[in-house]
Amino acid sequence: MNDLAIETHALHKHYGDINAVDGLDMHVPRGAVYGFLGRNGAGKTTTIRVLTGLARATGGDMRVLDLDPRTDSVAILARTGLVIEKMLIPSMTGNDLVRFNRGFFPRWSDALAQKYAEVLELDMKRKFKKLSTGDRTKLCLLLALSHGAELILLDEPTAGLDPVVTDQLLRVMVEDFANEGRTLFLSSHHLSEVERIAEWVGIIDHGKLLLEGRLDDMRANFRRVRVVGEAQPLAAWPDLVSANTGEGTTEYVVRADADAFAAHLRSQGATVLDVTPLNLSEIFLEVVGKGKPNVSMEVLA
Amino acid sequence: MYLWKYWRESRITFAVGLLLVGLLLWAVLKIHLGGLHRLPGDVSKQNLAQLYLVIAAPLTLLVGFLGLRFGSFGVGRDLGEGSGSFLFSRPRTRAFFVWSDWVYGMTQLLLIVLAANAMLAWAIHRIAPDTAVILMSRQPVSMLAIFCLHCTSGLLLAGLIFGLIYFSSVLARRHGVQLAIGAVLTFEFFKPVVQHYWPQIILPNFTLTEFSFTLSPTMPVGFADHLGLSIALRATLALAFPIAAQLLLQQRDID
Amino acid sequence: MIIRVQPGLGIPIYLQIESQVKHAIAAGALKLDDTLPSVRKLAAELRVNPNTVARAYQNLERDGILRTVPGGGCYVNSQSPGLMKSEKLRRLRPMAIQLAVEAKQLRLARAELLQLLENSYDTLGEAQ
Repeated sequence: MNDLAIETHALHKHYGDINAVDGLDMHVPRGAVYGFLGRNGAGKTTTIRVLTGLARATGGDMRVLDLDPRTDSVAILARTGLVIEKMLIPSMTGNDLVRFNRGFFPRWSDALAQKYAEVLELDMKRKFKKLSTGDRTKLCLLLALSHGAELILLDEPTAGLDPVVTDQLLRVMVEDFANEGRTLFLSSHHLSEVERIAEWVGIIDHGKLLLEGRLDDMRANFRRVRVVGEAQPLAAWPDLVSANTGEGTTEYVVRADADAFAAHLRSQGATVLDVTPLNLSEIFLEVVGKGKPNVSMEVLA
Repeated sequence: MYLWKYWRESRITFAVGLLLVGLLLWAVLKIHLGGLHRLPGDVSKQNLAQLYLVIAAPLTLLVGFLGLRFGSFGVGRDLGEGSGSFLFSRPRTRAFFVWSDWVYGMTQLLLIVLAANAMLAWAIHRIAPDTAVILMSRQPVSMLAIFCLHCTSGLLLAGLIFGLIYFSSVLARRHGVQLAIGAVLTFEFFKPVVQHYWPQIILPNFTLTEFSFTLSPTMPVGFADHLGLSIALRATLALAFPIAAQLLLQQRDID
Repeated sequence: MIIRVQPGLGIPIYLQIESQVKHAIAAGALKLDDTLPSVRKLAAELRVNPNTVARAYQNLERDGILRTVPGGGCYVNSQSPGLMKSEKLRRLRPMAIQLAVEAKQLRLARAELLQLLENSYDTLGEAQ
């Protein structure tokens, strides 16, 4: 059995001129919480649609739960809980939707659905079209989590939700994940939430994965090295992500071996002010190339 | 699960359809024959022939309308309302959804057509209990044959319109139904126009009316000379629509 | 709640949890043989990944600060850290440097700095 829940290799999805997914190489380990991070329009939703067979890939390979979505999407969907689009059948109530959904999944659990309805404070007798955005998302999540899926795919689950609902959802996600040992794949650009619960992170921009790895490793390895004065002339340093000069200091961001880099700078006579960590938001901005939009950028990596 | 969903969408239309069919027949019989009691003396062939004429048109319209309505249920509705992603991410093939819609819809239409014809046959039988009915043709034809012919005709009509609307609703989602209605009306509108300018071209009818009235297995004119061929062609066309809908869905991305 | 974390600091969450537990013990909020919430419970309360909590608990157990019982349950241990003095000093050194830097910046006298440190230490009192 493959130890990857999702694996893609040079995945492509083109719509005419638009390359929504443009050579994506992704590896999602089984049993992990994987945060799929990207800006609006980076290709997150399209990737999920291709992985579930809702859209057809235009090139590349992919495997989800050891199956090929091109030929076995039904088998994949039987073992996957999906929240995408967040639009269910408008004329049905929560209870109707449970009844409808139940018949598709042999491992459906009414007890679990009921528990989630209580925890999420959902009125299951209300028609879907009358529910607020937050309640709609909650209901979608309830349906996805109640049938014993091995893989949960959530597309921007906290988009447009107020902090209270976001908190409720996070709690449910964490509890569910802990109980079931599933793989949880969520796409988002709400980095503070992802930072809490993700072990693995993949940063996508313009349809390509720019960075992928354990979040703890990234937090341990990405460092901002601040130096007094102007930028030093540097031979190409492989782990350097960016360099910015402004207000009497130069800031370098490296993705590994910060100590070696600082030592190198000192050996050239630079005065190193400090070496500080970056949070996920800062790492994201650096990787996507938008660290400091108003200052001249030198990307040497 | 899916059957239940379809039933939820269609049950009111089904009930109303049955009701309207019943009302229509009752009204026509009441008005035209003065009720369902036996007429004194001979029942003239003209009366019965007129009966068929009078009933055929509104019944055809009604069945056509019901076919239209049923055709708008199913995946086309979900695609139009935005729940397509949800529906098609349930673990079933797209073909499953298309053919489930078709079977559930056509079954209900079949039941309505059967009910309508059964009511009519029963009413006729009450008035004129002869087993043979003579209409415009010269040979006596049994009630059963008429019953089968009318059911077939009604079912084919329903199937054609159902298929057309269903396919349109999948093709164009929000406006598919309007498009299809437009197509049907245009066809019906242009038929007399074509007949006027190009009388040698005879366009087919939606129903098998030419057979109903002459009740002979062959027609000297028409798109298909033989009844069997005509039925086969219409059935093929009626089936072509769901097949096309399935192929279309399988090719397309679901938004 | 004894333990709170802030994800956006750039400090790994498991380290935050560890330091919070140690702080709680040092301040007397957690005493010997007190129970800590289970991994799942704490993860749900904090809205963080259970593996993160598990890692923190494992580290604390390795350092002798917590002990787990096979039936479940996580208890505050008698603090016999099992660390060498050199390791203890190594861990504290960055904080000491930071303190010294700040004090120099503020032109605080050496004696005053030492006084501050002693006061903080004494306030923690009889806690282990």
